[in-house]
Amino acid sequence: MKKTLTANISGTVYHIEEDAYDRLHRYLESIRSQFNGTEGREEIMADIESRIAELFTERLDGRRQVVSIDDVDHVIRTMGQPEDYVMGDGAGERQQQQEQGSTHAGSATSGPPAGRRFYRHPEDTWVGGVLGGLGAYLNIDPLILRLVYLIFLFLGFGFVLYIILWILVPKADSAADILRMRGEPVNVENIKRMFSEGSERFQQGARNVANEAEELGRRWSQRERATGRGLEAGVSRFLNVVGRILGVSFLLAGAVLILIILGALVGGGSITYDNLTGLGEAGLFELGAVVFDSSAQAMWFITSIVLLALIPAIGLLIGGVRLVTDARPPRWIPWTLSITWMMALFASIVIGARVGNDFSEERSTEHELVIDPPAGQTLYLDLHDMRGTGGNWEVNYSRGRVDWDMEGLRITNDSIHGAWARLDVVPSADSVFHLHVKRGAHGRTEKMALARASHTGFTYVQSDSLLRFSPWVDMPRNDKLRAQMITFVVKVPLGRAVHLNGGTGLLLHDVDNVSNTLDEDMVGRTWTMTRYGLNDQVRPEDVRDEVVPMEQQQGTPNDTNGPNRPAPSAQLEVRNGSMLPDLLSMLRR
Amino acid sequence: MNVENTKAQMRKGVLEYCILSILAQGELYPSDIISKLKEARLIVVEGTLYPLLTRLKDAGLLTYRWEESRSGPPRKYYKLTTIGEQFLTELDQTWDELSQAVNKTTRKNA
Repeated sequence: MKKTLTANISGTVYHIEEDAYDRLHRYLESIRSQFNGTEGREEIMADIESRIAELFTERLDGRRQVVSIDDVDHVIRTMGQPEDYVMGDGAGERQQQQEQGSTHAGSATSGPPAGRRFYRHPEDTWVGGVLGGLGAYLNIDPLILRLVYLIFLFLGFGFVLYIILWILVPKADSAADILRMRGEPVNVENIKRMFSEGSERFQQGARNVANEAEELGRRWSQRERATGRGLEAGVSRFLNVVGRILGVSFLLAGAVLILIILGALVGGGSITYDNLTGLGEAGLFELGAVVFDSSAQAMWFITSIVLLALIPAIGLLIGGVRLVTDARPPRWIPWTLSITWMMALFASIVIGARVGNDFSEERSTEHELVIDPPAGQTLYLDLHDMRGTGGNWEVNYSRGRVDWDMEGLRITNDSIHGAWARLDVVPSADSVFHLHVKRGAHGRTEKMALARASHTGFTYVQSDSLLRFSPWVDMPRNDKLRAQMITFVVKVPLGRAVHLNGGTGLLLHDVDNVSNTLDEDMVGRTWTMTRYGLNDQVRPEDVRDEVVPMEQQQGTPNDTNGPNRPAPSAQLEVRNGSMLPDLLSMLRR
Repeated sequence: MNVENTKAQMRKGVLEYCILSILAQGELYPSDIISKLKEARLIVVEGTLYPLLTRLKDAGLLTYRWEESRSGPPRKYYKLTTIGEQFLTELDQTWDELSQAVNKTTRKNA
């Protein structure tokens, strides 16, 4: 006794023995995969099915009820092997394409395939089947590849690489593809063997189709046959739509990214920066030359960085095109892109490490500068050289160009000038004003850092009670930009004050004060040094009147480290206390 | 360059020409065409024909109509379109020229 199924072939219902059904189904599947990517595949398949139905009807001839495996073999002999179907259909063109190394997935060719092809593996998959497919392609256990890949993942670029391959490598989605992936010739014998090996996916697929065939007792219209089969077609149509939407967004993202990157490169030719005579211009590479050891190194680094960003963008674009049009790029494109990207990564890491190494040590030197004591209680602080608004670097993107606005950077033939000097105000240890300057820099060794620090130049000018500081940090061009920094430190004795003129807003950097006022808000006020820190609510003379009584009241005459003590309650006292002496001093006048 | 590929390409061109010629004699359905081609030993298996018919139809050289069949599914009856007829006339001419040229050349070589 043999089990039979009911199959609807081209609108006619046949009873068919199970083994006959399996063979016929595999036969149709392998023909279908021969026509992968061929226009009108569904129509051709419908015609073929129609002819097969005719042949069955002829064979059965009304005497028998059930299609047997002999009938199926007869049909296959009459219709020909899957390879025969494409004999006349563009076989020549396809062959040529293949010889040119095109990855025309599932492209049907007569004769044995040239060799293995790189497909994503449909079954041996952890994420997208890329490594499973690569394993089949290279004939290596995918587990080894996955372990190697984990290392790449930890190096940080494995992820991007995987995505690119995922997009570019087609999935082996037919029996013929899987055979090509393994490098075996595509013929019915091999496909049959693949089934008997118990390839689960296909068995399941066959079962699904069998169930479907039983359910679909009704006659399919031509249109229904052309568009698909029930649930399976619904799912694939849905995936198709999702694919297209993804594709369009990939296309857009890729195009925008490429535009921005190319814009940056074109705009890179016009970095504007402050000059003593006005705005100057320098190329991206010229700027690079003051950071990198040579302009050649700068060029390599910038090129590498641009490629690092550009190649994934191109990958997005290609992936988008592929998802939208099903057109597959020639195989050399993804390979070239991946290899170039790896090389760019390597170059940028090497150069970056070299330059970064030159920042590894930081040293600074501090020494005191001579200033005359001011005539009154207050020292006035201001900006000396207004040219250069200082460190206000911006990158603007407009109309396809990127403008690197680097105010406060000036490059001459032998020197670099950066308007980023800082000013700090701290308590003095004794009863007079002091001015210190701290010069810092980075270098490969402590010695080099210290040498660079001592090469830096700065400017300050005193006229009576007015002390003016230049924001410009001067350094020799040969030293390169290595985070050279000048910090002016004004030390104010207890009971004396500094007035911060408008220009100092640029210089002030994190100046401590009792009210935690931000640097920019400290400008334009007079700050008196109290034992708790700078305070703009008291006058110098008040400090002298106030300090002694308060200490006596609290009975803490030994509490002399007051200026640095951050005590909120003490701050409150000073503020409250300051109001009364203020009034009193007014009354006294 | 392999001989199978060259043979396939040669046969492909000739097959298309022959299909058009067969259909020039009247409306036929695929089995009729197949038996004629088999008679002439141009094809061995039937599968070859179907993609070719679809291609010629998509190119606008052929058109078809459905006809119910007593036994089995409805049949597609193919016939030439006007473009197909013009196409065939040109092919006839080309074939004459070609076969003369081939005959001449191969005879000289022999």
